[in-house]
Amino acid sequence: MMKYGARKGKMNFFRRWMAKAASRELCIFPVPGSDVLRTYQSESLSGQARLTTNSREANVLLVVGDMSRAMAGQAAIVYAQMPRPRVLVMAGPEHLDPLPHPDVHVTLENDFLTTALPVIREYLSNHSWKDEAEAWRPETLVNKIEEAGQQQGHMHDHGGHDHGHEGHQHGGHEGHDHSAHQHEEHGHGHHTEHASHDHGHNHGGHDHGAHGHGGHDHGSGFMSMIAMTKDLPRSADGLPMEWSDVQFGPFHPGLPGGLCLSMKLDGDTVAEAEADQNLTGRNLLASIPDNPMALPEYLEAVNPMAPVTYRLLAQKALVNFSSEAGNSALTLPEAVLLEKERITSHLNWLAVLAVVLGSDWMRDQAIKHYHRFQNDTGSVPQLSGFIKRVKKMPYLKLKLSVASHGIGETEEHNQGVAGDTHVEHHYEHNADSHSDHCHEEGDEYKPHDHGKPGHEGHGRGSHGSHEQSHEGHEHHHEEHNHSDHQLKDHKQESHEHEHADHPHKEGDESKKHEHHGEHNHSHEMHQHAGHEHHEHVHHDHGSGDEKEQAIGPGLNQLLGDITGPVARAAGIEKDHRLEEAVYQQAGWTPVTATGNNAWSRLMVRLDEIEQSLRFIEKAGNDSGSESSQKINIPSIGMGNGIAHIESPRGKVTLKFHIHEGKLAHVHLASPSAALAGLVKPITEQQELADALTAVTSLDISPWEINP
Amino acid sequence: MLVATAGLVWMIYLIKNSLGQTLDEPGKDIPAESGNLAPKPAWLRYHVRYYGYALLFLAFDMEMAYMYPWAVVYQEVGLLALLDMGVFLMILFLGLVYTWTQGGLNRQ
Amino acid sequence: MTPFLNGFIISLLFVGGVYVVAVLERWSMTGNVNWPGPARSFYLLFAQEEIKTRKHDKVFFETAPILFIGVILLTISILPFGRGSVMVDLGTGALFINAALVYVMVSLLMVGWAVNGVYAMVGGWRALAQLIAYSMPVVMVLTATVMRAESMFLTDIVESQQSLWNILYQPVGFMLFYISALAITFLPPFDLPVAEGELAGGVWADLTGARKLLFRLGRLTLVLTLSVAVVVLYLGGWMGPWLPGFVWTFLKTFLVATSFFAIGRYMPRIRHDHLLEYNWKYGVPLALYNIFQVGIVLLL
Repeated sequence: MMKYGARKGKMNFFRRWMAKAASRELCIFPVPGSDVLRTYQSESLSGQARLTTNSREANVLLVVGDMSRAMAGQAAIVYAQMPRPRVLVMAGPEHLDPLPHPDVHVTLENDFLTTALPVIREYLSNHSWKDEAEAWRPETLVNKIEEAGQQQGHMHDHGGHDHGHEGHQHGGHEGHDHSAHQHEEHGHGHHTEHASHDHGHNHGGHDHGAHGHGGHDHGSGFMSMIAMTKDLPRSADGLPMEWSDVQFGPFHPGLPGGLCLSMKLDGDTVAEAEADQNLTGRNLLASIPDNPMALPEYLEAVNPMAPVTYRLLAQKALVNFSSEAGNSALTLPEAVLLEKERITSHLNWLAVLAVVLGSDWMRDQAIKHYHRFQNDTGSVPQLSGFIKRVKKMPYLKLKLSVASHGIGETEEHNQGVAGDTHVEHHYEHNADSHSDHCHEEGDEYKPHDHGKPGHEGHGRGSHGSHEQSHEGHEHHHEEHNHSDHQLKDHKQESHEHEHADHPHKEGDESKKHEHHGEHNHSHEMHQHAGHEHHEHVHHDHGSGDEKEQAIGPGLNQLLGDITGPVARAAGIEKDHRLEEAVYQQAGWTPVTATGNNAWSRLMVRLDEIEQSLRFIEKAGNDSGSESSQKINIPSIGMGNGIAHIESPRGKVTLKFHIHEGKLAHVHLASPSAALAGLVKPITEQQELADALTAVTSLDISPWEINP
Repeated sequence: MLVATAGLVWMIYLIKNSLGQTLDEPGKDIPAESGNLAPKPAWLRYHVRYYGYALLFLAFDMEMAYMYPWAVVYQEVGLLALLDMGVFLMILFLGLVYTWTQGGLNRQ
Repeated sequence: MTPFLNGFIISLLFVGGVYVVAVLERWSMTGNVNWPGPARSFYLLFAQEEIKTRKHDKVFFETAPILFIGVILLTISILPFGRGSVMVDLGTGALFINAALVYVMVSLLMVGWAVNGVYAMVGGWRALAQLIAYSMPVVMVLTATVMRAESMFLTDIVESQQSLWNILYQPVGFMLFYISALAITFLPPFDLPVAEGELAGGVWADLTGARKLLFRLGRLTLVLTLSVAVVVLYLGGWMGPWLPGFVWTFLKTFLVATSFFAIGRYMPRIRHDHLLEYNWKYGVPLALYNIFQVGIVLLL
């Protein structure tokens, strides 16, 4: 009991008092994530304990539900990093392999945390110091660390240095060599900072140069900067810098629980990011029950945050199979259930987004409403009020409209709006300054072509700090400026397609605007889109120019597989609910937006919540109950069942094959796999915070990726 | 005050030490990376992208060093002081505008 | 009341103020006012083990927390809480505030580097960006207050506000100083170095025990200190009817601190790019305008 969790020593009076006081302050680290934990709570943990996502601050590690071995291994790493005294609580599984035996074990049920908390407190106050405490040395962890330690030995071989002393090396080079080299282009900032330090000025204090690094003996003779940095990857502005490999792992506060992003960071910009698709694999589809009637229950476990959706989906497929028509539709009660789940799923997502945005109020309110709606005690006017306040939150729009990544820019006017926001906010506000310049179109245009390839190369559709497909007046000049001093090699990816469609029309800008306005207003539920568009208009007219969009061929492919709010936020109207009779009867149209950035995705989801609320109200007395359709599987039945449903994240398709009354083969296509593929283009060359926000705005559910 | 700081810090460390030693375990000393091992040191050539701002900061900081004594005698000297410093500030402001238009005030 | 008694009461109020700020910080993070909360966190930090990350930079790791809290306590010593109630009436008080508070960000950078982890490193460099962004407006608006008072003694600056508080005399300056104060204390929405949602704790994520305690205590004290600075420079310091001077100071400080935390609760975190951009493109010109405005008004 608490062998691996207690501090070593005897309990004396002072320590007992400390432990008791400390036990009142529980910091819980939820594994796999606070969003999963929320689905098992009926109200938020306001005063009793704190949820934290920093393993050094936590003293309780709470494992919720079963998880794959890989993920358990990472939970073990978190446990190893927690300072003692620490308590391991498992809700659900008795024992997960790399982790030690749990100190507290509860069954996974609703509100398990309230029953577990007193036990945890008791442990902490009485067993924080023990003589029998031992160091925890699990095999897997020790092996991993050794392996990693060996790899490190090979790491520092750039440019043929001999790096005697790993850690201080890089700092030492900078401090030491900067004073010696004359390479003007390289790292002016560093040069100045270190030079200023070396001369004893104290601007903002670069003391780290002073300490130990300056006095470091280089040892291998003088090497010019060019030779020293020749192997380093080059950043977008041409400076050779080292990239760090970092993971924004499964237990990150701002990402959905279980989603692991491995990134290469170039300073604080993301050079490459990828979502790990194999971490959460639980192999559910490999051990499906034989009895088809048990399928709905079983499929609920696919996504702990949208269980009802999967159950309805399985039921629908079974009804399809057993009925002659083979094409069932959702009944009104089922639709109401689906919409309720949509509301709660979006609220849960909103809480995660609020964490990555840094707004605690939004998070707390989203959690409060989530719990209320989960328990069916939700208040519609309060939720609507909350949504309105979120839409009007100061600075939120600016912050989120930044990253318009041009994925799936299928139509010009969509791009136009996206471009406006992107231009205006993400890159410099050079509108005003450039309008002061007298720029002639002619002589700027040619060198611009020349400069462009250099800047383009962030891959298709990703713009990062040099948005390319928004060919505004200002941006030509902007890039021209940059082309002066940054004509270095850049990644040579597909920039040609953007170039080709580079019409630089100035004339009929205003006409385009009207066209946009009309087109957008043709959709009913688009007040927000139109409104948003008008806001962009205002921004845009500040500079008086319009952005022309280059339509990249084949960009459609990237967004072609995507369904759900992400696609709808790009203007693509894909929604399976369009094909359901119940929705058509209620006069429902899908919510779309233009802009294709985090803000439009947020808007789409908020509007969908409102839409669902109205739908439920209209459905009236049907408070949402199970379908009463007959499902009849004869024991010698054979055939295929197929069904689609619009889950909160996109369209999910279920296909199964029944052979002799038993389930033989099940295939599930969920939207999250395609969304995970979007992570790479959406984060390229984005600053870290923007990249994380963009990934969270996709609402990937890692549980669905590989069930 | 410095004595007070030293005293406070020393007391805190003393209390801390009396509460026991840290148990050395594998993995405990690896920096927390939300559930991953981060064995590689992070001391890399970090690409600081705001070096344009840093340069400008230097220039303005030097200016502010001259502004302090000026501010103290301002009311005595009167209009002349305003004009003199105004010229100085204008020159630096033009520098700011120049950097702005040349794209120095961006994320590099 | 004798100066000694005054001083004693002020110190008590100050320590109480730090506790109140801790409660306010909790309110800003969780929405509840939890009175015993900070005390329990305090004890928890004592009960925890101390962890030093592998290959950390020893000098920085040890000195950063001490530098952090030392600088803050130094800044407190020059701030006047009441007429005559100032520990060290420094002749260059206004300058000292800025100079000392630079070290706050320096120590954040130090700790970000020392921990030798990527999250902390990113946080550390962001702290430096915050410093570069907000130093300039702070210095310029401080100069404007000095202009009105004709001296850099902080007591003189308060005295110069007899007729009209600086908040009305230099509203632009007040706004800039307020925002910069938020940025210097790295409170949300400027909490880039310790971004809870993005960097899972950022700069101080890997600190435990005593060092974390010093940082947290330091930050709370910093909030209080900067609130007092805002009050001294712009809100008339200890001036007010019938209550003793320091009581007014503390009341106004409480209001300012509450507003700090309220803003943080309701706004999302500012973007790194916007931090620098908005400041240098709009903040510095506004600060220069402020100087001119004050200069012209003073001459009239």
